[in-house]
Amino acid sequence: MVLDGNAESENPLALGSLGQPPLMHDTPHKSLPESEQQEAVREGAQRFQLALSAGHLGDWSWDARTDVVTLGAKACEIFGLPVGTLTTLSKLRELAHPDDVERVRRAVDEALAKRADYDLEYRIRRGDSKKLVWIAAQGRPVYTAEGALRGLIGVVQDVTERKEGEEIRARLAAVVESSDDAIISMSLDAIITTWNRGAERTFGYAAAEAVGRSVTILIPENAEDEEPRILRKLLGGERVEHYETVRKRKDGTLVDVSLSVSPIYDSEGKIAGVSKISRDITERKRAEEALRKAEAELRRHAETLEEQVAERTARLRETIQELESFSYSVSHDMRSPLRAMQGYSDALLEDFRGQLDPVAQDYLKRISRAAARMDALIQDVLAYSRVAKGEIELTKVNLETVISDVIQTYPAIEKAKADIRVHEPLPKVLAHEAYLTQIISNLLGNALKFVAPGAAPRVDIRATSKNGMVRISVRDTGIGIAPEHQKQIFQIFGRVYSDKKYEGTGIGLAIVKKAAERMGGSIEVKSELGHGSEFSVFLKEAK
Amino acid sequence: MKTHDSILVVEDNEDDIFLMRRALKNAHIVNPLVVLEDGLEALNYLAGAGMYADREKYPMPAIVFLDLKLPIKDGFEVLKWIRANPSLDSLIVVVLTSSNEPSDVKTAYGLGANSYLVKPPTVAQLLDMAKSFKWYWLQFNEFAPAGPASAAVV
Repeated sequence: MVLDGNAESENPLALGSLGQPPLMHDTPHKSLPESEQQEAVREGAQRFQLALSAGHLGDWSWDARTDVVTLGAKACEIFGLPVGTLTTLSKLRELAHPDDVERVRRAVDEALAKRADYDLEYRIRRGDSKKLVWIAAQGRPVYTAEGALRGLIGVVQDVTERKEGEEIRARLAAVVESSDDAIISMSLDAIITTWNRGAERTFGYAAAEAVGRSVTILIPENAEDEEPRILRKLLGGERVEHYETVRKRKDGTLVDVSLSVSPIYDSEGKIAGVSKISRDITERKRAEEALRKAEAELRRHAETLEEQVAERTARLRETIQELESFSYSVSHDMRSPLRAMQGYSDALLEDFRGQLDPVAQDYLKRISRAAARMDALIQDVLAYSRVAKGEIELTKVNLETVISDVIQTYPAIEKAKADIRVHEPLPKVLAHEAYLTQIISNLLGNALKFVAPGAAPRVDIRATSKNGMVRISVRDTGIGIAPEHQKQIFQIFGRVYSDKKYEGTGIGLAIVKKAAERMGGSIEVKSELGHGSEFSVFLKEAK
Repeated sequence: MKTHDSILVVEDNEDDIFLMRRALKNAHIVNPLVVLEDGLEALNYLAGAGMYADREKYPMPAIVFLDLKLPIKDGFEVLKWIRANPSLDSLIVVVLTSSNEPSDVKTAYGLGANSYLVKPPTVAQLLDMAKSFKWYWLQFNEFAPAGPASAAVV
């Protein structure tokens, strides 16, 4: 085998300056003739070159006396230096990574001190590209026959690829190891081959306990067929989407896991095993369960609430019904004895007038009046409760018609010789006709009633619209209301005058106020004692 | 309406009955007055059931004064029954009650009342009402001839 044409053979032995190839100094046979000996040396050098080349090794040597480092071609290439470079040991060390320099120095010093080989891996920055590469350097101190140090000889190899591979593997292993998920690999016959710390935490078995055992140690009693099924699927080339299942811990308790299973292929592309990643989803399951419970609870609460609302609504309805039937019976039954009182006293007065003296007649009149007042009171209370309750619908109401109807049907007007002036035209209002009639009737009634004895009442009714509201004003020339009484008159039984002076139930204005409010309106009064009153009702205008 | 045609009063309150009789008398209404005190009795009378089959003794009225609040069967039930009975098509029913509840008024007309009167509180007003009643219903109102309505004949 001739390697002369090889580039490395141009510098056949970098260690030539040291006399002989360092690693082969035992090879030549001293007893052979010189030519043969030379032949043997050449052949040895060639074998040496072949070994170096096959191992991608670069050779180097250091001469202790001159501090010169001689690098072989391959070594030059590894260090990124021009071929044939001569350098010094300290110069060469400048290429080493700063973090590694100390370690290299110590290793070399130790080797020299112990007269032993050294073997270490460290990083250098290449002389040419400044790229960081990993090298493996081996060195051996060599000595003279007298035992003095001659220098060092050694080989160097670029191991960057292997180092990076190792790093990636280490990183991956660290990822697997530090994962919270249980990452397990197993052979096709379901024997566990690797077991990370996540698996330890999840299932309770240490790696040493689990590796080598069947994966069935993790399978709960009723799910023995699960693993074989998954395995069959995988071997059949099917994909296994990750799924949720239950596994058994070392202590026998069950754990909810989310599982992904994937095949591991060998270098020939055949399925050689299976890797499984199990995530402990107990917490999630627990949270889901808690959520489900909370939802159910909430639903139950809502249902209970609904029931309660329904129950209370029913009770309320019942109460309203009772109140309605009460007011109905008030209107029906309570008024009938009053009618009898009034009727019999009237009948007595009429039918037995001649037999009754003036005192007896006065008593009978008082009975009749009292009964009439009670009846009016009941009527007003009923009117108030009618206004206060129930849903009403507002419609467009002709104010002029309502007022004219009230005036025509009002019984006291003729007697009072009243001067009532309605200042038409009046705007239409949005109202409930019965309520509006009640309002006008009560206000007009008051205007006619509260006048000084002997005076003829004068009433002015006006209505003006402004900003979508109509102000209906009923103004009289009566006795007026003192400022301190102006609030009280709108309350039920908020009477200002004795019944003797001005008859009434004390409910009329309360009805007016309530009716106005029920129609989305309001009422106000302007009055001065002795100078009449003006009541204003505000209602929405109807377009 | 002839003076011998009877008026049926369905009323359970004896005070009201007394005052009513008095008012009708003072208004010079001479028609015979039949007073029944509960709704069921009124139905029997109008149907001619039992002893009421004797129409000589218990003649068919031309007008009924009907109170709403009555024992056993109330005024609305009586009214409903009357209007469901074709032979009583032309019977005039005047509701006379103490209630002026709008819902009662509405229900009464809905069930076919011919008129709705609220019992007036005073004797004078009751007399006015009796007089008005006399003029309107007894004097001017045209009654259907006795027997079933013509539509019912066809």
